[in-house]
Amino acid sequence: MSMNCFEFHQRFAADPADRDSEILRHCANCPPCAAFARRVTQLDRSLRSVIAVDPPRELCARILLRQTCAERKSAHARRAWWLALAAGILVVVGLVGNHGTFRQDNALPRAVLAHVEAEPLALSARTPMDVAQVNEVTQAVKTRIDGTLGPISFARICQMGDSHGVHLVTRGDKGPITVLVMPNETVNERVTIRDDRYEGVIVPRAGGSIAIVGEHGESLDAAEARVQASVHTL
Amino acid sequence: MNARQAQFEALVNAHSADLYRYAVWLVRDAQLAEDLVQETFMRAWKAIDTLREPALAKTWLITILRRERVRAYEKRRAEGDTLDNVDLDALSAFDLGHGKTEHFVLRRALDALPEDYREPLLMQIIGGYSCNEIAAAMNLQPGAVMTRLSRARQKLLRLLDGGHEAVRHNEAVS
Repeated sequence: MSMNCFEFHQRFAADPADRDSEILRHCANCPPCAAFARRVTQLDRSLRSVIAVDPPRELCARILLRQTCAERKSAHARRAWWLALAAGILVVVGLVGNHGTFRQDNALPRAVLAHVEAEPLALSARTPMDVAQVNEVTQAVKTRIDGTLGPISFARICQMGDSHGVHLVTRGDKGPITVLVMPNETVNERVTIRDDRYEGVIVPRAGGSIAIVGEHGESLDAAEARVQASVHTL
Repeated sequence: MNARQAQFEALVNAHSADLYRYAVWLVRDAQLAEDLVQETFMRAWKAIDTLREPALAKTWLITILRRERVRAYEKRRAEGDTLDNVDLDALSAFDLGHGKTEHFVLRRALDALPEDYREPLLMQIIGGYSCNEIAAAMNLQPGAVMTRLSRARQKLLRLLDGGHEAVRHNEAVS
């Protein structure tokens, strides 16, 4: 039995991509249903346009940032486990020696650079903020900034790994300098970071760390000294 | 960069936008949608070794996102939060910049569709799911999915163009 108009409407509206021979035959022989098919096809085209909202511009970068931070934490945990195991073996065997080198962990530097690159608008901010305004933002993560840091044109609380930190932008000799105060991202020692555009350092600070990043050639030593003197943990 | 990391980054680049669109139309809350997408990719990263077939990546991610959404709703409900009565105009994600009246009407109509109808439509249009795949994901019979999809489109058509000849024919046979 051939398909009737009701069946055609049900099937075509359920899946306009269905090219079953019965559907095609009915469409070819029933002008009103052919018009319906055109209308549904146009509806789907319009739906695709309407549905296609733009995602936040930094969505990919934020996802990758979060993943690299989480991966870094789990690498730390794995390393701690191996370290404990190695220490246990040394005790049991009674040997003392070098426990070897562990994989260089560069996830945090990558995460820091990704964060800087994910927020280009932060770098283009020019208007200096009042220090009180800055501290209204930073107090959420128990951090106070004093006026010796220099002009601050951007201050925001950002997701940094599994917790929040402060994202600041101040001015250097050559251009903007990003300062990321990361209360829960630890480094054991000062780490230098660099990619094809930016360079910087991550320094241990009060159980967490602070990253200071500028474009190549920026005098980061002076900026680091100002940051160390002006960022206070509450 | 190791192969696993490269695979993950390719997944993020290829599918995060569509996943966000699916989420934002599903939950109608731009911030919650982004949170869901981030959680989805965190789960995906942990389970990436189980993804054997790249062609199934989007389906796989949408499945994870649907689970994450259930978790998020349960959490919010436990905290006494409500997700009802979302104001579309307050959501910048819905500021499409389209001047077309038809798009405006369609946007409203899509938002007004019952979720039982809207979700399979999103899965088909954004996710490229077949009726059988939607049925499996939503734990429904394929016939029920076809009915929902068909009714969803016919409702949208009626809202968009009640006077169109094809629609009058449609109404006559429905």
